[in-house]
Amino acid sequence: MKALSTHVFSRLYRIRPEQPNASGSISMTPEPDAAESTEVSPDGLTYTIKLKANVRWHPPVNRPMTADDVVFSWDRFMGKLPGTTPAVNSEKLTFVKSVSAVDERTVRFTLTRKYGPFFSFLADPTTISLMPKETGTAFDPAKVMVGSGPWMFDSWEPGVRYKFKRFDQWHGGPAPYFDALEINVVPEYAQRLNNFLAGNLDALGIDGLDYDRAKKQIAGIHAVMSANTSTYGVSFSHVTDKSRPNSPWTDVRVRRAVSMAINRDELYEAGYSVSQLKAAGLKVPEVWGAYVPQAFPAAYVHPNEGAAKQYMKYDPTAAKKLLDEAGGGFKAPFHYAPAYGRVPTLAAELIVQYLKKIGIELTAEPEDYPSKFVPFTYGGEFEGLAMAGQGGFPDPGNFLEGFYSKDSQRNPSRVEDPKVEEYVKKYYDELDDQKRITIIREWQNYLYEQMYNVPTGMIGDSSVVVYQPYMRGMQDHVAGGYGYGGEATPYFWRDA
Amino acid sequence: MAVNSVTAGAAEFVGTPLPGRLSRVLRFARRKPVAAFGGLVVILLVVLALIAPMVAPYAYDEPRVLDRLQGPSGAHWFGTDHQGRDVLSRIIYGSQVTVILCFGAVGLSTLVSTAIGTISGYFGGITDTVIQRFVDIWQAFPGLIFIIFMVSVFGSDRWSLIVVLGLLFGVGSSRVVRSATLAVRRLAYVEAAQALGASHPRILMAHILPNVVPVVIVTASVQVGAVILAESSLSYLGFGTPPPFPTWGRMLQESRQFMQRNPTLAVFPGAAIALVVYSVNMFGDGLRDALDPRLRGTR
Amino acid sequence: MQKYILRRAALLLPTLIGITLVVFLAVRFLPGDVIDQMTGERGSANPEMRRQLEERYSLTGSVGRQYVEWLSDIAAGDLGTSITTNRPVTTDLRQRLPITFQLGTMALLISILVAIPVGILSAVTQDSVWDFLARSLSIGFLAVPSFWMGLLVLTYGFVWFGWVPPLNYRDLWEDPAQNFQIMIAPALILGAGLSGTVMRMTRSMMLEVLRHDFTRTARAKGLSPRVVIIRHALRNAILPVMTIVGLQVSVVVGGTVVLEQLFSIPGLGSLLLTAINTRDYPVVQGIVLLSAVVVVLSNFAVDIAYTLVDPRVRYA
Repeated sequence: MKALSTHVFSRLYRIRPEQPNASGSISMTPEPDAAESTEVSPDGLTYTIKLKANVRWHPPVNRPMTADDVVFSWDRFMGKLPGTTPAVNSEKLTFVKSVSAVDERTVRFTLTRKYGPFFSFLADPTTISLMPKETGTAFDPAKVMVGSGPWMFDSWEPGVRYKFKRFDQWHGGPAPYFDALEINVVPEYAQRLNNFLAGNLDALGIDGLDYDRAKKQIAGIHAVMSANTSTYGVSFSHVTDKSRPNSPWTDVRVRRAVSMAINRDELYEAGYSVSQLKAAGLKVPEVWGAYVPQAFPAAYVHPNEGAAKQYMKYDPTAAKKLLDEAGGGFKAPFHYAPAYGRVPTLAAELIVQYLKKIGIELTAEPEDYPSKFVPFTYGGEFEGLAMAGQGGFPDPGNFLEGFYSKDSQRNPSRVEDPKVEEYVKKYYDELDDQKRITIIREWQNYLYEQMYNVPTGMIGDSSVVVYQPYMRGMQDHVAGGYGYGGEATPYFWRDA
Repeated sequence: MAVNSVTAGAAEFVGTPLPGRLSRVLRFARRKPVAAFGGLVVILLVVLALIAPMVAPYAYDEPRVLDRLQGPSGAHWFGTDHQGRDVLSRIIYGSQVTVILCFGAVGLSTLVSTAIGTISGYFGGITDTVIQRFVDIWQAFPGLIFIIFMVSVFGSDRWSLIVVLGLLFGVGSSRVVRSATLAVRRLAYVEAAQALGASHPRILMAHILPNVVPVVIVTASVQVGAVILAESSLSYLGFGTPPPFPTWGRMLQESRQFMQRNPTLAVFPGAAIALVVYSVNMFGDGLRDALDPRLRGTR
Repeated sequence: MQKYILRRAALLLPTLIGITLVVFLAVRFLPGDVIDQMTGERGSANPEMRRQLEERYSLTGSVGRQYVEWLSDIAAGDLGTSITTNRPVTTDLRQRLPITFQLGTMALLISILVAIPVGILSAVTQDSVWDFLARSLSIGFLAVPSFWMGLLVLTYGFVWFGWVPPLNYRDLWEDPAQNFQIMIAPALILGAGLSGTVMRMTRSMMLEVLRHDFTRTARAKGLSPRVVIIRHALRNAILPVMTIVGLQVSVVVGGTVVLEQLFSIPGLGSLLLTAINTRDYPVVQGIVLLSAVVVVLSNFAVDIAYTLVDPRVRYA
């Protein structure tokens, strides 16, 4: 649902649809969606947002969006309306003091403290998606999804397909250029691939190994590298709590040894078939997911730079030596979630095998995602090691705050480090974009030293998406990661 | 009289001198060559599992990603998998899981089915009715759906698989044991034993049990195949045992994505599964023919 | 006879009640609950949210009361509301059941069409090369995992013949050609697997019947072997074979889960897997309950058919 909400619902801001740069990354820059312009008060505590005049709700509501709708959506999201429950991410929004309508087309957000990446925050589909006032009373939004985005919700069959229709009064018009959008859930890869090759599908996330074959079979096929908007790393239970028994990983040398025992080039080859893609003539970025995804090129500290260089390099001999100095090998469970998809699961298996070589014997524990993995890892309740992923946040700071701040609900290693808290405060208080980037780069270097969470380099399930030759518009309008499909699909068109 | 003849019969089976047993095996092999071949495959499988670390050319968990998805060669007889691991070695190690699962699950199943079947059939009456209603309920749930459900509750490591499969097949096949028990119970010598005041446990152990053994053996041989197939289906649906230790089902499941790239990747574990399931079924068939006295005369 | 049928029907009741009890309790033992699923990463952080949701999905009160309420809802034809779609579970089941039913029926028919002739051939030519081949083939089908067979069909069907089962499912009545294209491969694979068991039963029943006096008499009277086999032997062997076919219903229901997943068929099996993964427990309950009831009823039907056809049969 989350992945599909941006097709139907507008937000105040969205991520600018743009082409990946030479190294395959997209800078995730917020731009106005339903908003027209915003005025920020000098103290950075008040945001006055003017709405576009031509934003309309889908039928059956069928009227222009007003400031009251935005206030309604906010209250609904926060669970302030009778009969509504606070939404999943609402706890992290405590810095917003109030949201009020100034006039028909103006909304005002008042904050309790400064929040640097405020526009990115508004572009996150998991924070606020806009719904009409009628939602609360007239009908159940789970049955009828009414938004103001490019696509109208048509039908949904769980585990089979989602169908959307074009909304011809979308404020971003004349797009969408297709009349309808269908997203099929096809569990078996061979079935997906064959249907694409037979021309029954317009687009498909493909295994790198099959790209060459697809290219030979269908002349003029388009390939777009998936954007890197997520990170997967190895977490250690209660990593900063030195008082716990049987936790050799509270010693930083052990964590560095773990990092150096992982052959990331191999992981990347096994998961995304880099050499095949290169041989087939695709420009493949040397994507190494790290603390911040490469989708934020300015903020991202490449693992070959600075402090990272030494501890991110594959060197099992040095790793073994370091581990032996710190007390030698150990046994521990290794939790991971097959729900992450084929490639991260493959990576988890490879990591178990790599660490065995330096004397760390992990037992693989595949966990059910909602019931076990989420409370275990994000709640930091597991024992041993775990592979935890995060992705799709519109601001790089979210990644570092989420996994390393002691106040975060999503801190798998239960990191409690005053230095990190200093960075969190410094980063969010900074209103200047450039200065924030300097801070976050320094912050990453610190994390590379500490290795509270060892980056694996994995970015998700698929490295490349292929489109049929007649498809147009993808190169100029691609956004990746979960929750952001809605920025790209309206601009696709079909060559006659 | 009847009592003596049957106890004597059982004693004869247990006490046959070795040369006599061997000649029986040879006679079975001559009459049922395919079944004997099946038996041989099963024995070889067990031996393979025992000596796996000695015969496997590589470790099962040594990835060499740059050498992945190779076809059969001198260095890798069965080729390499998607992580560059030796397929032959993984099949050899995989036989261990197959053997453990089959022995564990079928062993448990046999215990369960014999206990339920003989008690229900021997005591009859209200005991039988109550037990059979429970069996009815149990059997109403389609096997695979039951397994998926249980595995999502208890996890999918080897031991929970053994318990789940053992219970599933055990309760399911208790009906067959019950019918065999019913047939024996009405025989004159059991009634005679009851009349002589023999205790229920004694009658069950001495008279009923030896007579249902053939049925139990045949059922067990068929279940071995079912266990192997269940493991592979579970692996396919994502409920298999944890990596990196190989199972044949897991190897098949992992090969899906690479079927066109390296078809042999799916062929070898698939063939291993098919060979073993085929063998145990043929063996079971032959055994049934040999143990079923009604069919004995037809050969 | 009527008395027997009535008695047999009366025995259904405790079984059905037992089934509902098992389904009801089992879902409460699922790892993690639906609230965790709905609240995602922060569910544990907010007890107030949890309480509200529990109330909404009637997870409060004693287990006993919950069960009685649930049972009376079922009696009224209400299986609850899906947590992911907010639609009545019965709506989903009504949409998906015919698809799985069609797949299962096709598979059963195919298995019978293959198994009975082959079983007869095998029995008549006992211990010959034909017998060996027929048995090997049927056990061979039993021995191959269905998902593997399906993968081979998917992969090489396309490589060699450019054949792809379409993604858009169409009803049999709506578009028979497309429906057939989607259903035929999985039905054949499932049917082949089932035919092994049926074929072996046919073979051993035929062997037994062929040794009976009446077949010998018929043969002695000079009737042609074909007439003897079809008119006399098969008629007597068919009953136990039909029982086995009836018992296969349970296997079919399980087998469709795998094949629906493989061939993207929107039946009950694929809905079950989706529902288990999203912890949509009203849907899981509905499907498991429905499949168990189908199995019980089909066994009941086989029993009744058995007595109607063969008056000798009387069960205690």
